[in-house]
Amino acid sequence: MIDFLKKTNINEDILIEIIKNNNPSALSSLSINEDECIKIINYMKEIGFTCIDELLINRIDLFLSSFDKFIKKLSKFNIPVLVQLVNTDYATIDIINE
Amino acid sequence: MGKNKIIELLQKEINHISENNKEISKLEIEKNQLKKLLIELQKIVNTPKSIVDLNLEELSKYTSKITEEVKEKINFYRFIFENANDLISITEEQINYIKNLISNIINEINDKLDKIGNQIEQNKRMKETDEINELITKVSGLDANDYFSAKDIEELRKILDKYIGTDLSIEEYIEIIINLTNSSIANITKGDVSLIDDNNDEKIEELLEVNNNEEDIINLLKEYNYNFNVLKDKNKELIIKFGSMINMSSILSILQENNIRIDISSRENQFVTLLTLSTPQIVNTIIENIKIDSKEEGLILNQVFDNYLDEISLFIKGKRTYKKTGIGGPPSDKKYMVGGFEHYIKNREFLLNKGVSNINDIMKKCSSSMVIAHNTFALKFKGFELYNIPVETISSTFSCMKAPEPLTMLDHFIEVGCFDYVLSNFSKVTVGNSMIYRIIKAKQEGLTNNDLYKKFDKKVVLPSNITVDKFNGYGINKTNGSTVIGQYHPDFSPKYNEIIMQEDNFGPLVLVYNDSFIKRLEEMCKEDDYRYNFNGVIISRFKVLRYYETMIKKSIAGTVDSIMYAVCKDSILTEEQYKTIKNCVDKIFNPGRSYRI
Repeated sequence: MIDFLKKTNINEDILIEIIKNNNPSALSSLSINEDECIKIINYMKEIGFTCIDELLINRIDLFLSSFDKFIKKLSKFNIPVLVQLVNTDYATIDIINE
Repeated sequence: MGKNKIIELLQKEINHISENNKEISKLEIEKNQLKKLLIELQKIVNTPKSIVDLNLEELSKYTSKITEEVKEKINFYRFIFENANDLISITEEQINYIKNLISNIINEINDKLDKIGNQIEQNKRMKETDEINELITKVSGLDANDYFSAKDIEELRKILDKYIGTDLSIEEYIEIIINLTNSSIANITKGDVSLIDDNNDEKIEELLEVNNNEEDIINLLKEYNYNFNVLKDKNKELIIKFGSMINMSSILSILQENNIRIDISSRENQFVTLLTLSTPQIVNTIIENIKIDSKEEGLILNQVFDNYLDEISLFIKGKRTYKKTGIGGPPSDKKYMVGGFEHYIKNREFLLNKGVSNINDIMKKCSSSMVIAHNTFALKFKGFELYNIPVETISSTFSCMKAPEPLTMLDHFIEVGCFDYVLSNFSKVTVGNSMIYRIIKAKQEGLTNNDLYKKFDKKVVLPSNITVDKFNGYGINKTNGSTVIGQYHPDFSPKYNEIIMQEDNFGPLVLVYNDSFIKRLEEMCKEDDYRYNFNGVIISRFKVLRYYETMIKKSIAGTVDSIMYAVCKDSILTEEQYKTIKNCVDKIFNPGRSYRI
């Protein structure tokens, strides 16, 4: 269902964690959002996020969004500071929704 | 057809049930108190001297036999028992008086217990509010092609029966039932056959090929300003093969009426899924709910709806898929879509009943939480309520609802002294134990919260060598935390775990506060609402209370060993910490004396 994540080098163990940690409906929604999700992951890598695995496991909602909406949410912040903060503690990503 | 009237009566029924549930809780408490009292009274019949410990004031609440005159007599007999010597001693006649009096009271209390038992049984037979909320949803959606199954109509009839003659005339009643039946038949005929069976949660609904005319589809989409030709081939084929023209037309019309436009450049798959796997009544219900849940002036429905599109499973009821074809199924390679509509409806109603009204905000922050199975959702919320977690904290993230063991994680954070951290980052109740092991290790190395905490805006954050698993901070990975910190695993009778594991242990806390062991623990160790302090070792108070509540219910409480189990259960302790707790508990409960209830 979410095997497409392997295209972004997410490994099998992480896929299992994502499936274990999220309900089937949310996983269905992720599978529908394949293209946008891949764009989001690639962009996150580009700007230096190192905790994408944790975010996929614990914050699947980030990856259900359209790429444009995701960018818009991030644009309110100083990106390097935000990236550093989230890399320190992935839970701080919640501030982008505040 | 009296739609508002039906909703009003169903709402009245819900209020009635809520009152009843409160009544059941009260009755259960009274039942338990009476049972305890019976044990005490039986003891007096067997050993009349034990009347010296009887609380007459308490007893007089449950019987009319304790008059002032009787009190005087008993007090006199107590005096004799307490001061018996060669000159004064209780007579056979006096003992018989005590035995007769107490036996009569026992009979009276037994009668009371029977009555309470019957009342509880009667009240329990009432329908659950969830089922009635579902009926309300269906009544609300009836104009938008929803339907009532024969079972629903039967359920509704039973409820309405109660209000005939008071809130409802017999004529109104007959009209309602006839109208509901007719509308339902009409909607089922024109609508989606998959809705007929309400109990097909596990069944995968397979959409049959309808093979539309491509021109018709192009024209339909064009009518609503969408361009069929820009869609991917796979999606074009899905719409042509599986899209019901009536459904698609109704959905597009509902969207347009509400000025909602889906940007198919970024939402193409969601758009196609909505048109093919959803239904107009579901789309309409969700849009109406968005409007109801909007607190802001000037709601931009289009924007809010896009947040709902994130969790596209919301628009699907049950498991649905396309009939196997050469194109391989839905827009991805998955086998079927697991719908979340029913969970969303129940979870939303649940939250509204709890006073959480920012549903649109939750959908923006954590839409996936709204499609969690309702029973799990409600149980976790109940757990957070038990720990007095403010609703604002829960709704600040809602990822917390996805935690597999949220209360155990709260207990860990309380016990390692980082409760303020978890309140500031409430979604952290979803993390695994390795982060807790790292905090413990850091503290074993002499670091304090002041060294560990960093402030960002209003948030407290912990360093990445603690929060990020892959850094293996303090030499701790996902499997070796217990060894690294030198965790001690106390040995308790396996019967405790066997029983505890069968229960959810999420409260409510009813019996535990009247337990003599807990009363003593509260008196000697309670630091605050969240913590017991055993000579410096902090233990989560609610953890002890909720496990001990289960243990009382299951009749395995009432010993020093059982209280030790409840205190140590799930805690990450070193041997030294365990011994400290054990010493404290031994001192508090004085092993020479029995506290068995």
